[in-house]
Amino acid sequence: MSFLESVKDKLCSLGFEEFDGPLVETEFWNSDALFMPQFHAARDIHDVYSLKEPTLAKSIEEPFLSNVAAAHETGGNTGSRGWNYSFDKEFTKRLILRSQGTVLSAHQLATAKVPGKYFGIARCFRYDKVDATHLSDFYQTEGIVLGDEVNLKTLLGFLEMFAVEIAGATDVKYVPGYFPFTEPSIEVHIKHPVLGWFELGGSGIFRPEVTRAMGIDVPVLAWGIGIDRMALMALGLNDLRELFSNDIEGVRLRKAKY
Amino acid sequence: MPKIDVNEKLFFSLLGKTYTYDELETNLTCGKAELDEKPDTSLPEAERTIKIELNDTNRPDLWSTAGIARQLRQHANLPSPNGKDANYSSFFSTKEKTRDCGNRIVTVDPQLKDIRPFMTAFVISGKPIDEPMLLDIIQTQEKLCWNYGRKRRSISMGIYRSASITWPIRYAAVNPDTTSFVPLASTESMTCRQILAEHPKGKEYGWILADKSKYPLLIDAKDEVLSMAPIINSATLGAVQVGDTDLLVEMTGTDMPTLTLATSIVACDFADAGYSILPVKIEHPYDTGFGTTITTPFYFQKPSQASLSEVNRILGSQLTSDEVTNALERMGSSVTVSGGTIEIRPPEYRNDFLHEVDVIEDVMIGMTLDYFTPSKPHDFTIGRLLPQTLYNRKVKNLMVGMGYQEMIFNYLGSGKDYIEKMNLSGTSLGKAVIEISNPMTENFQFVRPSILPSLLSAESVSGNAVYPHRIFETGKGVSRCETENTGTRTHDYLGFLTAANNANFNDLASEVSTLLYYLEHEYTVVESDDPRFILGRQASVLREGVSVGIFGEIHPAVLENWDIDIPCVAAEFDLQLLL
Repeated sequence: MSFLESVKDKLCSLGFEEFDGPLVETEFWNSDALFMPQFHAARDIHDVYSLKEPTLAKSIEEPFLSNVAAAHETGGNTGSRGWNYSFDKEFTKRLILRSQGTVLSAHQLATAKVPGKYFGIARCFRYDKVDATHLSDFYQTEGIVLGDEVNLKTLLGFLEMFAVEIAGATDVKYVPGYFPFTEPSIEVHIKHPVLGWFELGGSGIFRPEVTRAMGIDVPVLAWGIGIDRMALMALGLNDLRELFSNDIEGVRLRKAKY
Repeated sequence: MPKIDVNEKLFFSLLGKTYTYDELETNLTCGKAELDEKPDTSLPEAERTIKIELNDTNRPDLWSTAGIARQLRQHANLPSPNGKDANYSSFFSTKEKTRDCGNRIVTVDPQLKDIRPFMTAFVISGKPIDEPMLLDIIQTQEKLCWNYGRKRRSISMGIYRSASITWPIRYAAVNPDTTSFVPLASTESMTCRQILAEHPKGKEYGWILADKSKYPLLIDAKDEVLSMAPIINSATLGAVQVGDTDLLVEMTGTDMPTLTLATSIVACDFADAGYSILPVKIEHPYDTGFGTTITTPFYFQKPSQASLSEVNRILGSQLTSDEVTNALERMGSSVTVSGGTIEIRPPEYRNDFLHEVDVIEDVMIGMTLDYFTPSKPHDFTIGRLLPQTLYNRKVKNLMVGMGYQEMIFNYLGSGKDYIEKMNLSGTSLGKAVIEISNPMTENFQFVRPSILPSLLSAESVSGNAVYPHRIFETGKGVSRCETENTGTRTHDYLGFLTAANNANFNDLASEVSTLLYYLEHEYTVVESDDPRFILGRQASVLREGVSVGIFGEIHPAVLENWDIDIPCVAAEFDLQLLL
C-alpha cells in the first residue's frame, strides 16, 4: 500500500489532481463514452462483469447521452464518420463493475479544468481466470492532461517523465499502439536498472469523438501505467496473487526492495 | 488481439527482403505488431513459422502473412512482389466502373433477406495453390471470420474448386429437413438440420441459424452443393487441396461493408502472391447498401481529409505537405494535396479512417516515431490529493500507531464468505450484497460489502503466525442503495480485527475511542444488534444520529463458520461518513 501512496505523491508533485469513483459503473461511462462501439468484440459477456440486480442504472446524464449516441451513429458534432450502427440506449445503462481506470477519466472530462492534469489509482475488474499474472480485481493508474500544449511530443515528454520519476527507468522506448479511444496511441517500454525491459503502459490523445461529446475542445492526453506489475517487482515477488495475500505471517515479513 | 502463424519463406518472399529477427521486431511496429515467438532456427526456412501478434482491431488487413508483409513492404519503400505494380484497381469494380465477370454470376434468393442476406465472391486463377498459401488462407478465414466477423455471424468464408463448378450459382434459402448433402469430413449425406445437430462445425456454429425456418445453401447450375453458409462446405466441391488451380472464394454475412472489406482484403492478399483475380457478379433482390447487383471485389471506401495545420498541431511538428504525402503513401494510401488540405484515398484493403485523427496517426507511423522527440510540458497545474485520501492516510497512521498491520484484499469473493459465514443469510444486510450475473467461478461471484469477511478470511488461514493478530485494511466495499443512480453505493471503509486469547469488548472500545479522539469527532455510542457480533457485546457509533461504524466481539457462530477457535473483536467504520 505504501508503494501506491508513494506513486500518488509523485504524481501529485508533478502537478496532477487526484480523482476517484465508484466500483459499479454503467456501460455508458466505462465504454460507450470512450467511443468503443457496442458491437466491439471486447464488450462481449466474456470481458466485463455485469450486475445481477439491479441490471440498469436509472438514467444517464444529458447532454452526454445524446452526444455520445450521435458520435457512435453518425459522428455527431465531433468531425467523425461514426460507427454507423444503431446505438442502444438501454444497453448503455447496463450496470457493470468497472473494467478500466479510463472510466474515471471519462467522468472527469465532463468537469475538467483547462489546463488540467488529473490522475487516479483505481481497482478494476476483468473477467479473467485467476493465475500468477492475472487477478479478479487489480489496480490501474490512469490520468489525463488537458491543454493547448498537448500534442504527440508533449505526450512523449510525459511518458518519459513517468518512466524516470515513477518507475526509475534508465532507458525508454516508444512504439505505436492501439486503443479504441485514443488516436494516435503510444506504448511505452522502459529499461530498469535491475528489472530489465518491460512495458510500462499505454497512452494516446483522446479521439475527438470522446472529448467533443463531453464538451471539451482542447486536445486531451490519456495515459495509464501498470502499477501491480511494478509493485510485484518492487517487492521482489513473482505472483500477482501474493499482492492480495491472506497470510498474516507472510505479509508481516514482507519488506520493500526499493 | 489476433495472433497469426506466418511461414517464414512465404513472408520474406512477399516482403521482398529478408530481415534478422531483431530487425523484424523493430519493423513490425509500423503495423502495431509484435513478434510473439521466433521460429525454431534448426528447421529449414521453408518450414519455419514466425508467430506474430497484431494489436489493431481496426486493421483486419494485417491479419494474414500477405497483409502484414504488405504493410512492412510499403513502409520500407520496397517494390511490390512478383515484379508487378501494386495496382489492384484492375480487378476492383467501383460505383462508376464494373469489371467483367464473364459467366461468373450468383443469384440470391429473396427469402435470405432475414436469414443471411449478403454475399460477395471472386475467383483466383493463374497458378496452383501451394501448401503455405493454402494454410495461410485457412488461417485468414479463421481470423477474419472469428475476430472481425463476430464468430462467423457477420462474415463467413468458403473456398471451392472453381473448375468443378457449373455457373451460374444460386445462393438459396432451403428447407432444412428436406435438403441434404455430404458435408466435409463426412462420407454420408445428412440433412441440413442433421448437420447442425451432429456435425462438429454444425454444433460449433449452429447457433447462428438456430431460430431460422430456412437455411442458406450455395448450389451450382447442376444442383451440386457448394456449402451451407456459414456452417460447412460440401465434401465434393468444397474440398480444396494443395495443387488445385482456379479457386472460388465466397463470403456471406449480415453486414455488407464488413463483408465487402473482408473480400477486398483476401483478394489483395492473393494478388500479392501472384494470382489473377477474376470478378464475380452477385444479383441481390434487395439493396445491399451498395446497390442490388454488385460485382466484387468492390471498392466502396470514401476519401478522407486532413488539414496540414491540424496534422502539425496534433503531432507538434512542422511537416510540409510533401513529407505528409510521403508518410501516408508508406501506409498504403494515395494522396492529393490542394492548398492546406490533404485528401486521402484509402487503399482497397482498409476502411479505418473515421476521423481526421486516423489520418494523423498514419502520418506519425509513416514518419516513424523516432522522428518525434519528447518535449517537456510547460502548463502549470497544482497537484492535489483527494481529501478522502489524506483522511484515510491519517487513519492508517493512527492504526499503525496502535499496533495494527496493514493488509490488502481482493474485492471479489464468494457468497459463502460474504453472507453465509457472516451469519447474514436471509437478513437485509445479506440481501444488500452485490451479485455478479456472469461470474467466472463461485469464488468470485460477489462484490464485498464489508472488510470484516476479508479480515476473518486472513485470520482463518493464519494460525501459524504468532499471536496476537492485529490487522486492518482501508479499502472499498459496495452495497445496494436505492437512492443512487446505479442502485449501489461504494463505501470507503476502515476495518480492523484483533485475534487473541484475551480479545474483549472493553479493550476494543478503548481503541475505538482513541481513534475517534484523534479524528476529532462528536459521537455517541449505542448498543446494536448486528448478527455478526455477540448480542450485548457490540455497539454502533453514531454521528449526528447517523451510524458511522460498528464494533464488538465476533459472534461464536461466525467464528465457527470460519474455523477460527480464538476470540476475535472487530470494528468497521465508513470513512466517507466520518470525513
